[in-house]
Amino acid sequence: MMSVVLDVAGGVLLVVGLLLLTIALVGVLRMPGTYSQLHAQGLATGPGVICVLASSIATENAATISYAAIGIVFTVLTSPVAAHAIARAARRRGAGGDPR
Amino acid sequence: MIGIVLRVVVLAGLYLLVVSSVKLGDVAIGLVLASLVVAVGHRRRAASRSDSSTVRRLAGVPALVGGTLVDVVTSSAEVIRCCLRGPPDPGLVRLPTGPTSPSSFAAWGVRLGITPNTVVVDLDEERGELLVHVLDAHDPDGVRAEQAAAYQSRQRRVFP
Repeated sequence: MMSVVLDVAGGVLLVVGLLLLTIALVGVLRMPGTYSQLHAQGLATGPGVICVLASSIATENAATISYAAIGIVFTVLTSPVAAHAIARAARRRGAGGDPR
Repeated sequence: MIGIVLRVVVLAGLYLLVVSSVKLGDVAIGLVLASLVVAVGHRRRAASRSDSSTVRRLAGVPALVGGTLVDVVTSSAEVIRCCLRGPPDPGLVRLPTGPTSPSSFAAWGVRLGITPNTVVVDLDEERGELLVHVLDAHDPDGVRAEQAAAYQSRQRRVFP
């Protein structure tokens, strides 16, 4: 029973993650300007990747799940820094106009 | 003291996750390595906090983590809408943080960076100000008020 629940939960997380990654890709292609594209990229590197990694619960393998947990922790900590570095570089090149 | 023990436990836990093992030897090595790292870090700290302050801050962690998770989900929905329909009025907004500690300033940055609807563009620690990009900046005062409320309800207890 538990195995079926984990399989279903893992499958749902994988589908949601892939959906978020696809929407983020559409966003990167459609959004105007670097900053707006970074929002779409944030959707992929944040919730998208986290859902895909969290789907590892379906494997029921402690080593795989623990590696995925580490991946989630480091993704959460590093992706905002990467986005900030790109945004700061864009700002230095004059993107974005005056702040409100 | 509680803060030191907590750091050792968290670092040792991270080590055990990396080696994917809870064997006695690995636990011992993890604890020794974590203690060394915490000891070196503790020496570099100029001022230490009291235990009561640490407990008070720890009590605020569930609100910080839970609130940030709620923010991530709601902001993801907003970004999905913008990805499919286009952003309504994207723009840069100055966000005053007031005089805060460096750790609080960093927490502001990470918290805003995790939520997909805000991108931290620049930080001015001296003026206590963040420059963020939002997808809907037609009401900058509303954005500032929303972020100030989020700071009060989620972050202030842990990173004042």
